[in-house]
Amino acid sequence: MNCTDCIEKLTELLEGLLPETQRQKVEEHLKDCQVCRAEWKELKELGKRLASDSRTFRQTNLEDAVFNRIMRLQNEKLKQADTLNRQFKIWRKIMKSKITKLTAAAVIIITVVLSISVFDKSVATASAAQVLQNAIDAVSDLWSVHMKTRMRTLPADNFSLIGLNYDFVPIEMWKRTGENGLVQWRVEKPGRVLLMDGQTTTMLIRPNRGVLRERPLPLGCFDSWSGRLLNVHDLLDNELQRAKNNPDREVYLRHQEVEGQDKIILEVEVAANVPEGDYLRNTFITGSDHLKVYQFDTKTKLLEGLQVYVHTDDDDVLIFEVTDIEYNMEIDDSVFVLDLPENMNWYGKPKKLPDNELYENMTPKEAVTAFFQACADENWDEVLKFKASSQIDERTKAYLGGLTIISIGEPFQSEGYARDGLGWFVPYEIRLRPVERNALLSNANSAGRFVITGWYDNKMQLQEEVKWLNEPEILADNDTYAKMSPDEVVKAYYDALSRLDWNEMRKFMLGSYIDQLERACQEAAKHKVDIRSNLPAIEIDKTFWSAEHSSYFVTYREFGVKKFNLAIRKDNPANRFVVDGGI
Amino acid sequence: MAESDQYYIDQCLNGRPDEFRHLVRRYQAVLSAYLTGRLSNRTSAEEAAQETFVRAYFGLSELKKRRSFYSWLLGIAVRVAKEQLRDQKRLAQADCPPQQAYEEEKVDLDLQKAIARLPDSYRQIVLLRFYAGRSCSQIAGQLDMPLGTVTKQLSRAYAKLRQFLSDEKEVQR
Repeated sequence: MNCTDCIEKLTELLEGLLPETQRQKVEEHLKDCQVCRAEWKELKELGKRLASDSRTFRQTNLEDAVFNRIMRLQNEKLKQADTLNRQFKIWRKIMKSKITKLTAAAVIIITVVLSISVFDKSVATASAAQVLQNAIDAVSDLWSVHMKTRMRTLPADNFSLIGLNYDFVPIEMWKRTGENGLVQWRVEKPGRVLLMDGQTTTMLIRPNRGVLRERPLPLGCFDSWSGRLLNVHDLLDNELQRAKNNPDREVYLRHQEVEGQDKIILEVEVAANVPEGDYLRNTFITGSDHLKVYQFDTKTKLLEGLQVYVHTDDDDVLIFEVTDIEYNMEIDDSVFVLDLPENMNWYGKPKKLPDNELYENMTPKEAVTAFFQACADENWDEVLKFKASSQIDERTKAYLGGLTIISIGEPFQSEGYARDGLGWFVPYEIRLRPVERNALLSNANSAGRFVITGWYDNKMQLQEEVKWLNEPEILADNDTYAKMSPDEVVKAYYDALSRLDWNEMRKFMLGSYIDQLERACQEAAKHKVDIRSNLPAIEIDKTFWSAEHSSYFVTYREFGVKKFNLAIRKDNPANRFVVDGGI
Repeated sequence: MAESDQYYIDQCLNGRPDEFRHLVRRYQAVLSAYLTGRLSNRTSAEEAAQETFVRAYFGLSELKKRRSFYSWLLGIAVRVAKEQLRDQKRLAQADCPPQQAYEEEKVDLDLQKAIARLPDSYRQIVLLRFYAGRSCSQIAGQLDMPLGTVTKQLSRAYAKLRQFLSDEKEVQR
């Protein structure tokens, strides 16, 4: 190594960044070369000097001084902005806002001014009404719209249902008006599609349930809150009318820079349309206190986004979001065609029965009792009289057939369900027919204890494969568990389940599976489901070795119970109660 | 691990202005050191550093490249320093005695001045390395340059610093 090379490497040596071999070479050269050694010494001294000096400066604490100055300046700006303040009720808004979650008054002042300082740089006089009017004008010649959104809902349930803990489900929507004035639209999420092709309106609940109406229905039909958004003009006009009619409504307007573009943000507070404590509170957007955040482009005035937050006691939860909007683009014709499976099960309005009177006179409790009794008797023709569908599918038959009624409770109502008091919720508790199942267990793992590796039905068809990517952990008391036989493990698993002892269950079953189960139970509990009353009991039948799987099968019977509320409604032409939704 | 500058800026602009504290904490020593070099006085330097942060706070929504907050902040500091030097000159002309040079605390004024004389790109790196306590690889990440470039620039900065410091010694003799 020569001197030039060596000197080049000194900084890296000082930083400890040289690879071992290079370091050795540099150090060897330094031993031999006095000039480089002197250079190295000076460099080290400079490094020390910088480090020591920086220590002095790193004791500097300007935080409080800086924030005091900011506060002082902001108070001055606040006074200047007082008029604006009153106009937009920013104070009220921010004092109440849980979104910003600002509690300290000091911080609140900062927010107000930060908003204003961005705010007063352009259309300071714009009011919410003007912004909305501009946005309405911008969509005056709208002939097609395509929206991508996401919502905390269930993939196959209706387009209004929300759950604060649900995962986001994508919802995609299209609407177009042809040159002949023909309107078509489609609203879709993974398990459910609504299609209006100009003549008929179809709802498909995947895989094969459906409702067909031989006429065009408006957007919003079939409980489709999100579908209404496609009527952009009406959506904005509705907000505009409300803004005009109720000037005291909580509206908050501000500017925000998004990816270098100036946007106008309009926030609107909306109160729930069901009372607090109602059974359906926070299960629909309209049934919750919520905040709508609209985003408009300053230049084009177009609506570009919408977010909906539901207020809860301790948080604001983003529940719905438009992630993308396209206006006036070509939509392929195939979007407005729905491929239906051959074995469709169509739901319609129940028609009058020959002995309709018998059913019309039933009380909610009698109707639910008669429905479950028909299931118990596997009298599916009778069951159909309480359903709006054309047939009962095999899954439902297998699930409900042969059940035992434990109890039917006192019916109750919710303001959010069925008009004119024609809908009821009826508490029920039933025992399901025992199901034979087979658990597959293996102890070929480093912990040497039996864990569940799969589930099979009574015909030995695989129902669920459990893939252990990592070996089961070796427990503190691993020996105790290693001594358990496969059937003891299955028993212990269900015992732990009956106590909701998730940690114990993890000893026999993949953690991620238990996590899912735990989350599902927490979610169900939020919907007022009494989990402990819905846990199955089991009876072990036999254990046998499977050479094919090199594992043991444990055959057992599962005695499921179900305790919940059945939704029934009689707002139909036949004037009798039908069971709504699934069980 | 601490969040990036951009993260805190986003937080500030999304209604959590208090998050600006993190940026003050991160760069207060850097600004104080640099401004001490420019203004030859630590008290004025801290005053100027506060002013720099306050201006940055109110200008945050105008910052286009949020990743480049640090260079932008130093740019503001340069302007603030120029203004203060102008004011000091005016005061001197008006026969007001200049503020006492900061002597009480051990501040290596020669070193500060040498840092202040460095070209912008070298100065940025030296300040980050020592006064913001960042490692070379962290600097590489923040300034979006290869690690080798950072160490090369640092070497050159050291050479310059040594040159400036020995110039200063000559003058003092």
